Amino acid sequence: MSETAFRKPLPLEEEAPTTPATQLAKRIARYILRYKHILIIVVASTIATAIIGLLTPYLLATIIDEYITKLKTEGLTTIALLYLTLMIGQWISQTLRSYSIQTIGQYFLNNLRQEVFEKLQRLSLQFYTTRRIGDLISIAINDTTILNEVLVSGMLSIIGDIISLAGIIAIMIYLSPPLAAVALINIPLIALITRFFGSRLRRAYRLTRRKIAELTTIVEESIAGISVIKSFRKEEDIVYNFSGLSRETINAYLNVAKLMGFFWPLTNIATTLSTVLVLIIGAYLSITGLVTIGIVIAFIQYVNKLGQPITQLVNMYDSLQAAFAAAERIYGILDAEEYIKEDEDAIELNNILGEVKIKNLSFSYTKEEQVLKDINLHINPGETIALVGKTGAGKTTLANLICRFYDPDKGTIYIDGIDIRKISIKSLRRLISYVPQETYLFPGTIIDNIRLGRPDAADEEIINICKSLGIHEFIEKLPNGYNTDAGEAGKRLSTGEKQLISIARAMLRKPSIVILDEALSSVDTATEEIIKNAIKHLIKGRTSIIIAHRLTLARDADKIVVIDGRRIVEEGTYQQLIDKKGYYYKLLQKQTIETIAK
Amino acid sequence: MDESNNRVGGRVSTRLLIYLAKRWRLFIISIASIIILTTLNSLVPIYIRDAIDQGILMKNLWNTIYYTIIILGLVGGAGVASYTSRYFITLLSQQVVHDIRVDAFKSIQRQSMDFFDKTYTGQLISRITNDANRLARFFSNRLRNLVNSILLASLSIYYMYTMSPRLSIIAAAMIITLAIVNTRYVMIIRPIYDAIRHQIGVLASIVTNNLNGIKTVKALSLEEHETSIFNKENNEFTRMSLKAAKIRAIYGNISTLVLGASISLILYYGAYAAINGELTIGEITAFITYLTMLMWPMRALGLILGGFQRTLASAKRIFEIIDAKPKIYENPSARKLRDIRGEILLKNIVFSYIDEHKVLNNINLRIKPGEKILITGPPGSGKSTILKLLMRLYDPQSGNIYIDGIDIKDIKLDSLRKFIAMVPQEPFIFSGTIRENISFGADNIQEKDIIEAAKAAQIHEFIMSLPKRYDTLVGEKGITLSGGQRQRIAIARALLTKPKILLLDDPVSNLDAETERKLIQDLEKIFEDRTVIIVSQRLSLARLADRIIVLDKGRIVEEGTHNQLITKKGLYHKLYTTSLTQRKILKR
Repeated sequence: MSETAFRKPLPLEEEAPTTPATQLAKRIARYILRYKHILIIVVASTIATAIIGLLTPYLLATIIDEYITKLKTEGLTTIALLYLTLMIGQWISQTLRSYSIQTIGQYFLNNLRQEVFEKLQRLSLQFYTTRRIGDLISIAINDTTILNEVLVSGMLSIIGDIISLAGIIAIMIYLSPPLAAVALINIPLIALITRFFGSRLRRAYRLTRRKIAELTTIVEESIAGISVIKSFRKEEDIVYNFSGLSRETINAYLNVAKLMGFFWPLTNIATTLSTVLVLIIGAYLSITGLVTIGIVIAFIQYVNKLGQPITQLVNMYDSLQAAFAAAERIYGILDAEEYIKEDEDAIELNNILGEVKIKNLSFSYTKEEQVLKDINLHINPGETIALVGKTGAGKTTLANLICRFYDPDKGTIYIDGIDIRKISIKSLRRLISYVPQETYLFPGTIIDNIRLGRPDAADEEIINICKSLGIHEFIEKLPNGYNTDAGEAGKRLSTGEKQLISIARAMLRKPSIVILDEALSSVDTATEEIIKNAIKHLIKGRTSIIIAHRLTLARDADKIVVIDGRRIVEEGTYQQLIDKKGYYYKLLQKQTIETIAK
Repeated sequence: MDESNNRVGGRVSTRLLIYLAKRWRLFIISIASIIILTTLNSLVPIYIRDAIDQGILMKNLWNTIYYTIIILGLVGGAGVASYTSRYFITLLSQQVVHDIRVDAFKSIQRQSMDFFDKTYTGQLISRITNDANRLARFFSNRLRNLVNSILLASLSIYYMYTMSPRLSIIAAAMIITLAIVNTRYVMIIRPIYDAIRHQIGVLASIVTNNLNGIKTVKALSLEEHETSIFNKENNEFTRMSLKAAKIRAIYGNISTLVLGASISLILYYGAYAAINGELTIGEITAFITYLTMLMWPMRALGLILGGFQRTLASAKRIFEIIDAKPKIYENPSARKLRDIRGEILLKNIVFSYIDEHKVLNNINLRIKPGEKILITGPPGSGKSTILKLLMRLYDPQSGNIYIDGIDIKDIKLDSLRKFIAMVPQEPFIFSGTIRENISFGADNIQEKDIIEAAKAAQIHEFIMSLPKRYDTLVGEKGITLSGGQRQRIAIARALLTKPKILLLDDPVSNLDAETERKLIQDLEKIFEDRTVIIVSQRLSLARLADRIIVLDKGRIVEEGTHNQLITKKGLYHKLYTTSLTQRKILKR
């Protein structure tokens, strides 16, 4: 799943947000206001940039009208120096402006990502059952980026653009209203052109990205399935498919080129139209003496400054919807209910006997289907019980409830007589070690992975634990021993072998209660022995609940509990249940049927 | 070091030029239209000058109108040239990259398995997509901008020179400064952007691993531990981004400073010259327009010069794929087989994957046509490798394999694989429908054949229970299949090609007892008229076999029928008894 997370097909249309934009904008604004000091620099430098941008063409007009036309050289040096100073000032203010905007944006992004990640850590498993991990990753990484680029850094830049635009328009009208009237003709034109091409270009770009994603998929699948392709002599067919898709990619890019081919010349023509009109009307006005030639030339400069902010503004409008949709998804996570919450006066437990009592417990993941009903179970300290039953009978669910990954709909679980909802989650999970069926290996080495059981454990301690569990030789046999890369090891180890890592992790925690979801599938007999041995060591002297899939493990338990049809249907020692010839006996029989048939 | 790099760079450029030369018509049209575009654009300031000097200053409105019409005409013409150049250069670049990409993909498909054992999938993908895209960008925008900026700079300087040789020196100095500054900027910022992109990947992989293992995180109370790891990398990301922002703020705006300084100088000297009658106001305006006009092209030039090494590096990476030589290839005299009886002979086979470790060590085995063989042995004994050698996915280091007496190296690969089908232990399912997956290897298939194969593989019932049956999407875009279901689809896939030799790698490893029993029953029928080799640790398959081969540490240690091997009390006997522990328990 991890690899596919970034390749989900890109929709050609953005989904529209349902939360009002103003509400989302307010929330974001509140964040930004945290950085008041930087915000002041942003505002000051933005205003300075805009004002200097207005002054320079005006200065040019002055030089032409007051000096060149009047053939005056006195003071020319001063005014040229002033011009230079302004240009340096503009450079400084632009630099400050872009840096301060980026700083706010990056702080915002940093904070937001951290909040999202922390929230994801707090959310209960219930949240994860209804979400696709790929989507969540995309929210934490991509959506936060979009939010910053459009609504924070983007917005702050746009505000500067608006100020510049307003300033230019104002000064034009101040200098010469009739000339302003014709000079500004490019604003509506560029706005229209950008509006027309903006969304089309965006869609065309998205299509190219989709084509590239499809190409990636073909390459990826053709490599993952290379032995199948070779075995069935399909190399040419695959190349043919690839080539066809590659051709479609050409067309997608050509589409973009066509749109761009229209877009840029058209905006260029719009600006030129303004310039041309300024020249003609300016000529007329200057001939009649209403404006000076310097003003006309200043206008040409102003016209050239108009284009960029307008394009930016209109483009911004287009990306707003996507950004608000991203914001909504992000806040959807931040506002999600956490379900498993710690009691305000939760107890820190340090030492327990390890008695587990389950009373009238009922549970369902969804409303439609109840998974467990009226479960009552008592486990004495130090006792080992085996949970058996068909796949989907609810064994793992029961384990999940004891670890408080979920809260039951009804009933209570007590540990040493205390309702687990009254125990701090951290101490609960320190006392209970859960060894899942599927061991998840994190990136890093094998020893790092074992260390996750207790992050402050020293190498020596870990190796000793592995020795005591009888898995030291097993790990030493891996290509790099304890330093074998977990990803590499993950590929070559079976589920059962990987569970050894989990067992070591659990052992490192010195838990009082062990819950183990047995994973003895597809291992050879030698490894099976290692695993069984390790489990025996782990549960020695501890209360333990073993979810047994291969029923041989259950034999050694103090008590076997059979779950079927949401309820506990049988309970007793191995011998009792065999003699009873009930559910357990039948299960056992069924499992070995093929051996008997022989 | 540098020298050899240059030589490699030279070779890579030559090869790129060869690809480009194949599309020489497009190349000429593209370059020609860019030249027209740039030339037209470079004339605009000249006519603005004339509109001012001949029109406004002469107080001649008609002249202004005349020249502005010329300006509009120029810009309109430039628009057409711009469209043309953009279209053709995109076509050119995409065609060239298409050619390169397909060559690379073809080469990947040609490679033998050892290539894939050595190379990371992600790397291959990145070369075919990212590196190819970088090339495409180079050939389109970059090439276009390169021609445009150099030509525009030259033409501008030329026109400015005709107006004022002295001031044109200032302009030339500005252009050169901008080109240098921008190139430097690109070279400084690029590695930082790369690092940022990499850091995003780091963040994404932390989140990915955390969420995939969220249950473990919770079970081990690792939330804080994980958060601190994430925060550390997140802060690193922010640090890098701010560094990039700083460089961008300083360098990115330095063009403004250079332009500002140049314009100041031109205004200062220009004003004096104008007062002395050496220069006109229109000419000063033209100078300013030229300088402003050159800002973007110079930035683009920096991008091209600063990024050229990377483009070459991308090209080099793709060419490496194209040049990779597959280890397994057909002998020139390889022949096509009409039909085979299915006799297999392995003679003195020695094989190792990478290092010295011999996976197979002197294997000799003769299998009669139609014989059913079970190869068993402890994990890592080399069982599956034999199947891969038969398919010629790998070649042995020494020894030969014969089919019907012909060395498989003398048989066309296509022909060899037509008669042999293999069901791997972890079969790959392509994203697509179940029907597509089953009929993957066969041509001209009828619906009833597919269903028949699916029934034989014990997967038909399951498929019919799905809402869209055989049209159900599986793989990445569709439902996830269990290991057993994948295996059975692969069996159906193999059966559909009606192979003479069928190779099964642990076909029941992921099945529950009930399905396993049924499948074994059906396999008997499937095996008729075929040579079959099954590789498995499960001895429940023994009854299907005429002969059992026991492998240990790459050697054949025992051979015979089930009963022979049991009485021999060797390794087979040991494997058999351990697998029966369960039965004994129950009997007791």
